[in-house]
Amino acid sequence: MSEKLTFASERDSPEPVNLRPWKVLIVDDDEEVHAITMLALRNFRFDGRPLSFLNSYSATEGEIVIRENPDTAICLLDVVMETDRAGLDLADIILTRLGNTLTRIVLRTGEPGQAPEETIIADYDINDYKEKTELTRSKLHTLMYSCLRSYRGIIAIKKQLPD
Amino acid sequence: MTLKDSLVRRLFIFITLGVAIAILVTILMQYSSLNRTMQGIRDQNVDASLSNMLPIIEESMWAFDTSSVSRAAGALLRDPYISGVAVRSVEGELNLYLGDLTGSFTRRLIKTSLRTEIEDGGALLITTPVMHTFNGENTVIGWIHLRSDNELITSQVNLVLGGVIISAVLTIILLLMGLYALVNRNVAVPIKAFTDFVERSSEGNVSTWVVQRETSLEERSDEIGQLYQSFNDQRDRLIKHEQELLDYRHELEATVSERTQALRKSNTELSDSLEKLKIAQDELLQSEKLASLGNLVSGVAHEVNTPLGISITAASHLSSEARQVQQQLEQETLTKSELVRFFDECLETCDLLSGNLARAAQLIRSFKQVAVDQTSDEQRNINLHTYVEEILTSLKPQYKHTPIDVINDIDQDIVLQVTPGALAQIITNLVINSLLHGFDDSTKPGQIKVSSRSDRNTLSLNYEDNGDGMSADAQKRMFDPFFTTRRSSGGSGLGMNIVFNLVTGKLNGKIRLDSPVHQGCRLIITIPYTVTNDVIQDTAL
Repeated sequence: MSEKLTFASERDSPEPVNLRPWKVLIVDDDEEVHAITMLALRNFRFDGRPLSFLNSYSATEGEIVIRENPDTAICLLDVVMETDRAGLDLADIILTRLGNTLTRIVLRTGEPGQAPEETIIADYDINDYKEKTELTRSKLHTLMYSCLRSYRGIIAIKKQLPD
Repeated sequence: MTLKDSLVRRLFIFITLGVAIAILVTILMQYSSLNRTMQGIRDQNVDASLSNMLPIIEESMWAFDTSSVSRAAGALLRDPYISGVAVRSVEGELNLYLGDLTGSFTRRLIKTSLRTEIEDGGALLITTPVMHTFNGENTVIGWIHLRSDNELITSQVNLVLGGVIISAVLTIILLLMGLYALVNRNVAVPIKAFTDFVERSSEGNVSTWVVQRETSLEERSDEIGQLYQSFNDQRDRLIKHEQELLDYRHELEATVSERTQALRKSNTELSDSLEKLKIAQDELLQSEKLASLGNLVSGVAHEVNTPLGISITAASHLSSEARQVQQQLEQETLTKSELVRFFDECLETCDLLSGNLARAAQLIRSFKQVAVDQTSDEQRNINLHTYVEEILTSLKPQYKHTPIDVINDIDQDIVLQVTPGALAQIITNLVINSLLHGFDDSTKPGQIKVSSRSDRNTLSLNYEDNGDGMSADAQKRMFDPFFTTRRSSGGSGLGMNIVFNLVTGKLNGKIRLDSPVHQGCRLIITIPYTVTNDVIQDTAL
């Protein structure tokens, strides 16, 4: 390897992505969670489509955003916000009151003791449950893939159905 | 016996005196009447003798028959009442003296034409004129003098009276004897028996008495019998009463001992249950302490996990990016702009990483101190402002989602020696209570403020919130153990009691509420404090 760093010639800037991005809603009261999530998923593509992020800093805010964006693919939802169970309540609202069964809801909790995984996954109609400390970049990516894949499938089935 | 002596003697003296006086009076009366009677009899006798002899003496005198006169005079003298006779004629040729004519009798031979009677010493002198009727004319021819001695009368009277006196004395003696026997039998003996009975039956205490009867008194219906009966009635009643009293006392004693027993038992039970209650309270306090520690742990764990999760994502993202760039570099496909972008991303990620790790470290540090302090009673010097700040930081998870401002307005220079755990627990409980009760509606903005004011010897730590406040009843009972307005939602009612105990016990201070009903909560904690110059700061940081 030469002493001097040689750079490859600049590639043509990738063709602008015109495909509709997957909407990902982040609901968390911690700003830095938003920042790191967006950072880690910046270059993520699924089916060639990038992600677009919607940011909510409380459950109340999250409810408004998802009401306005029913085509949200994934909702990364913190549990403890205004109350100890604000996230769980929002999940319930999305599924029952808003009747949105398409959006994949993933709970991200800081303290599993306050929202134990097994009971939560059994009692609430959510798609996945993650502890904040287990979400490495690759796991985050894996999570995105699996969620978007099932979201894509559901959308396809829904389109085939007459109603 | 004095009663018998005095009563019987007095009775006898009275009776004897009475009877003696009565007899004396009778004797005196009899004496005079007897005297009179005897004198009457004598007069009759003398008159009868005189009237028998007078005609003979008159005729004999008239005929100067001296011997007849003498015989007649002798006949007169034979009368037992006549002790002496003198017959004298007017001319004096006849002077006849017969019998006892002693004394002054001769000098007193009166010449009178009328019959005269003269009392002379122990005798009666009777002078009768001898009258002779001649040619229808009464002429005194002589006198007959008679002397009647009283001796006969006196001896007769004395005879009669002597008999009377003897019989009276005998009567008195018999009467007294009879009376004595009667009184003795009917009064003295029964009284003595009664007295003996009373003495016998009254021996010892009333409580030892039994119903007794005296056979000799039982049948009597007189006054003594009645006395005996009423005494017995009284005594029986007394015995009965005493028995009742005794029974009642026994009953009372039994009741008292029963009650005492019951009282003692319930007292023991009470102290047992008090002991149990104390243990339970201690356990509750302990578990409350642990529960608040548990709350703290889970709150802090959540708080720590968030920056840790961010850090993990950041670190893994960084390594992934680095690996990609490394690969591009090896394959010589790395463009300059990509490297620049990589460095930008590296810096951005590292900022996030170090910021969040520092955040986690800070949380762990303050949590550790507060947690250690909450379980330890060790005293140390702390800077009040800094320490309260740490406590508030560890409590931040509880209020950071609410629109409530928590302000630490404590003087930054106050250093004091306290049990930090107690202070931490106090502040924790107060803040939790404010959040739970004062700011129940977590959407309304509010304020909690901790401030200080120190003077020479004391430090006032003022805690206030502008929440809903308390009712008058809740204010009055806020420090009572187990008083809670949130029993249904799991309040133990121990929070403020713990605060009270810690302030008065561990901090040796006082706490008082200084806020109107239903208008916020302002508590003033006063603790002893001396301003020291040699400030050895051993704060948690």
